[in-house]
Amino acid sequence: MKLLFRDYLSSLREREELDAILPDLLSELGYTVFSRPQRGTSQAGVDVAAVLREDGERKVFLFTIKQGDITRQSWGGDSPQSLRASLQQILDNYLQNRLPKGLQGLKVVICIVFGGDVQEQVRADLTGFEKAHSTERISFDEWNGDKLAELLLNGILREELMPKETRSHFQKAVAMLEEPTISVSHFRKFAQLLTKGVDSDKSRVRVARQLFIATQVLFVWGRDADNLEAAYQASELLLLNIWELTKPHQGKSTAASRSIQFVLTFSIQLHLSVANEFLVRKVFPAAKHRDAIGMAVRSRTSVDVNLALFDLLGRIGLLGCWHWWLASLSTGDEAQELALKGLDEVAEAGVQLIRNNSALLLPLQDQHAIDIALFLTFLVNSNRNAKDVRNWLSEMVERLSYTVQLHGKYPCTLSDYSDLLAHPRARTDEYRKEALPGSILIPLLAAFVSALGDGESFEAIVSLKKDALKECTFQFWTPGPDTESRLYMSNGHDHGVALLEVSLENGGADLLNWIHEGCVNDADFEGLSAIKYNFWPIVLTACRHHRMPVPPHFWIGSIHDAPGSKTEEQTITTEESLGPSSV
Amino acid sequence: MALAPVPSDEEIVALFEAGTLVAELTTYHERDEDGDNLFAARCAALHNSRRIDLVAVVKSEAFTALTPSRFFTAQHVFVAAIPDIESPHRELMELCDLLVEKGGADLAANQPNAAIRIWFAKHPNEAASVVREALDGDELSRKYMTFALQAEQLIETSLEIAAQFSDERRLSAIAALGWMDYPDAGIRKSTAEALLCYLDASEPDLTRANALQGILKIAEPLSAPDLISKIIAAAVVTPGDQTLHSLSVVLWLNAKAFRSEDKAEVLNALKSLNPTNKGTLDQLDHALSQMVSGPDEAIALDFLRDLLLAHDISIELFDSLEHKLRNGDPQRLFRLMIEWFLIGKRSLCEKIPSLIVEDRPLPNDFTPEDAKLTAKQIIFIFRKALGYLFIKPVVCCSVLVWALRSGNDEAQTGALVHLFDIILVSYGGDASDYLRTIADGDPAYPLVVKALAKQHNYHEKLKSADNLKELVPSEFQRAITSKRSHDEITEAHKNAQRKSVLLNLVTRQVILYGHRTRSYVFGPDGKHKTVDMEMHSFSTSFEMPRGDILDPVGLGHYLLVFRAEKFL
Repeated sequence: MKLLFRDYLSSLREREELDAILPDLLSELGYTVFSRPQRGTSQAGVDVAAVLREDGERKVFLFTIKQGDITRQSWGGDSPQSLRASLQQILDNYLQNRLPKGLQGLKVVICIVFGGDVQEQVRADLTGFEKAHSTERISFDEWNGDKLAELLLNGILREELMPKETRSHFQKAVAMLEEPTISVSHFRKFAQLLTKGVDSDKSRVRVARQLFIATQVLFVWGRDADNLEAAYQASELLLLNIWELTKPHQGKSTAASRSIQFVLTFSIQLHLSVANEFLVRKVFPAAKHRDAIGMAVRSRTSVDVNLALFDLLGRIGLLGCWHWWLASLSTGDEAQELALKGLDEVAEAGVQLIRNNSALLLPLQDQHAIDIALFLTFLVNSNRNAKDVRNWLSEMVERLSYTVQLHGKYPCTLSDYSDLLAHPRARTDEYRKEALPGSILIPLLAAFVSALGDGESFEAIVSLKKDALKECTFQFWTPGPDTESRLYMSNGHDHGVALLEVSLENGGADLLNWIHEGCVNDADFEGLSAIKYNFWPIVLTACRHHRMPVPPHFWIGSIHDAPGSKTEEQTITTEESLGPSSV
Repeated sequence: MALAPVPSDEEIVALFEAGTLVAELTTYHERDEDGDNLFAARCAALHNSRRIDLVAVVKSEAFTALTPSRFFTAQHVFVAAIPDIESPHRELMELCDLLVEKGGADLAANQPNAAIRIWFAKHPNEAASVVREALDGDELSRKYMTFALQAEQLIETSLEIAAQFSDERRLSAIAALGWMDYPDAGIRKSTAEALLCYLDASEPDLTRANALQGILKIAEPLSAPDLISKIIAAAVVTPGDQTLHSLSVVLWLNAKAFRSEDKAEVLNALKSLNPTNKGTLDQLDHALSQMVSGPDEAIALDFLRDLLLAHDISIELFDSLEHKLRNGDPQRLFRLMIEWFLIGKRSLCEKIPSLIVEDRPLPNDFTPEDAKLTAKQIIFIFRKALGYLFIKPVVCCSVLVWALRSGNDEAQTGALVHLFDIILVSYGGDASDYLRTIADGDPAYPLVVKALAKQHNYHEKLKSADNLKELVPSEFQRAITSKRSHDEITEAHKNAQRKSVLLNLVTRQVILYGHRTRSYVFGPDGKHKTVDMEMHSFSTSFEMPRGDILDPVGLGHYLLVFRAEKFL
């Protein structure tokens, strides 16, 4: 276990990784953290500052954090980020100007924190510096990877707080990173055991921190193994678990609430880091090339390709939604511009993925309506690529008609993998009734093609419903009174409300009105904690992770008012583009 | 296979008395020094001496229960024995009748008839009796009258019978005339001309059918093309199913006597055949197969095309022709494919995949005749080729290269797009290898180079996602896919074994270990002989189209459109 953390710590990057766990670690060890890492502001060499009573005496601890080993370069290079420069800044600037008044008389320990070791050729310089600047008031300490691992294991992750069985699942999750399904299943069990019986503010904060660190370990190891699949899913699980732990603290300003809010913020950052590392760094460049992503699935069956691509599209949609959420929160022109650039990049990559992988023109599983809805939610609300969307959905409806009528590989509700491989097992109406007894995909398509003015596609769906899919139950799903308690943690599908009798006969406008009426002032939707506290991407994350349909509330507001007239030239107002809150 | 020693007379009698002679009849026996069937001769002699009764043996339950392969082994003994049997003709006819009936529809079932013909020739009085009894109406004699007439060379009698009767006795007489040896050409010709009246459209279909075969058999050695044309002209007037069948038979068996126009006339008449008459299709298959590769190849192929257009029948019914077209001149196959795809009818196009089984390059020169095709026609042709032959990428490339050689901008642009988007994106191996053989100086060369460069670029770009381990299916999924794949292959193997003609004939042995087999057989000298057999592996492979994995729906849709589109 110690080796695992030692390796993990040595792989941590300074920004948002090592400095993200240190404050929590310190809090767990009894330190009072009074300064946390901040971006874009001068820190005068101090990343984290805390106070601790040691041997009956209060001392100030100033932590300066460096990634990996301390090398000649990181010790004394020209960069202002070098360790020597940081230490000098602490001595010359922080201690002179920035130490809070109430702490100015206290002894100061300057802690050099790094995930690895001090390399031999730097040792003498560092020791020399420490000796030269040590006084009765100022002393130095070194927290290397070994010490940090020790502190983690004896602190936040000590056996009383993380029992053997829990640790075992975590270790298996790390060990099985190359088999993500197994890894995630162990991580899920780990999270379940950890969150079981959490009943106090203190335990909520502690468990949240433990989950965060464990997810980060998985991420770092996954990054080293160049396989982020388990880390991606674990980061979604982290968000949903943390949200469940955070819910009682929303709107409160107690110390525990603040602490857990910090963990939530870092968890969102961690999820976005994993998503960026996987999607932006690995997937997006390949999405520009025809069939590259499909071929990367390395399968001899089209089923795997189809499942992987739609899953990917859902993740891109979700990432887009997170960016859109961040953009809506960002203040200042520069931040706005940066956020919008992120939105553009995600939207463009998603469209390229579709353009270059024609398997995305029709899903094999009806439940991939969730991924399509996530991507559409992102695109229509952020007003991007309406023309591409129209073409995409038009092609999808054409393929749907063709496959349904010829008993081909039409979307089905089968979930067993063997059944999917064999689909269509028979080219008969009877089999089709079994394979596609209901659909969330087709009504979603009907709503969007109608809103995008594609009457021909809408009529094709109407025609399917009248004939080949007469007995298929078209439906939407909306949250119900029981959803709040089930959505984030449960993977059960038996909560919420199925909106049936989706009528297409009176045209697309009527369909959109009907959906809109069902969504307006929907107390159950508005009552979801993540909606109430404006963390609505958490709901989408839960939908994606637990395979629940995306409630139409997320997109109906953006497409309802202008059915059939939305083109790529049109813009959506900022207010509209904020999505669910505009419903 | 070791041959059993021939049992002695006493042993044969003992077997007969024990009721187990049938088993011995189904055993292969050693021959005598001259290669004659000693066992059959002994059986005949014992029958003649009334020590055994071969008719009783054939009537026995054990004989009735014989499987087809064992029956024909036994039948072989009887066919050898019948000419030597000394019995009243009725008993012989009964014996033959039972054997023919038991033989069923098999081609070898009629072998006993040949044997009784020899017998009739040896026993002229008995033959005359059979003719007499037949004319008197005896049912069994009617069946054997043909052989009796033939054995005795009764030309005049046969002509009289044909004129006197209108039932099957006329047919027997006509059939017998066809098999007779004529003393001179004059009698042969007069006999043929005398029978011409039975080809008249007013005659019953069966009479015409028998007359046609009989007359042609008589007339063929005359080398009288005008007479042949006269016979054909009479036969092709409103032919019924039986006459059509006979036309198909004579087109095969008497083809040498036919002029090209006769063949064309016969085939024209055969366009109205009933496609459910498999026997007629079989004969026609032989006839057409014979014509292909000869001077009348075009007539045969035009007929085949028209027949397939008129009747939606499987080309597998023409197995000989199919085999010849498939394995014969590749140039002919290519031209046939181009012609049929241009017509574009499903009933024709869907036959092409049965003809083009191997994925190998076909000679594909763009001929001056091809230059008359419009761009749209050329595009139509190669899209049909893609639609029907997609799983044979090298053949598709042959057609696309043919189009690239057209010099027609529109057709070339279309061919280039389809070459890359449909073929080169899906296939990497043999198709590219074939394209690389297109030499500099070939009109298609610059465009082929362009397509290959695009393919190279495409493959290079695919590598950009090499490190996406996240998308790889789980171990569980991979295991299920492998299992499914294994089950499918096993099932296909079982099906192939069930349908295998070879495996139904031989004893099957499964070798679990080792790479050679050793077995021991008894030689004619009664000594052991070691037979070693080295085992070799055989396999076949084909390239899975990438499109079928990446986007089966889209690919299927494209191919369906290519197959279904019509030339307006």
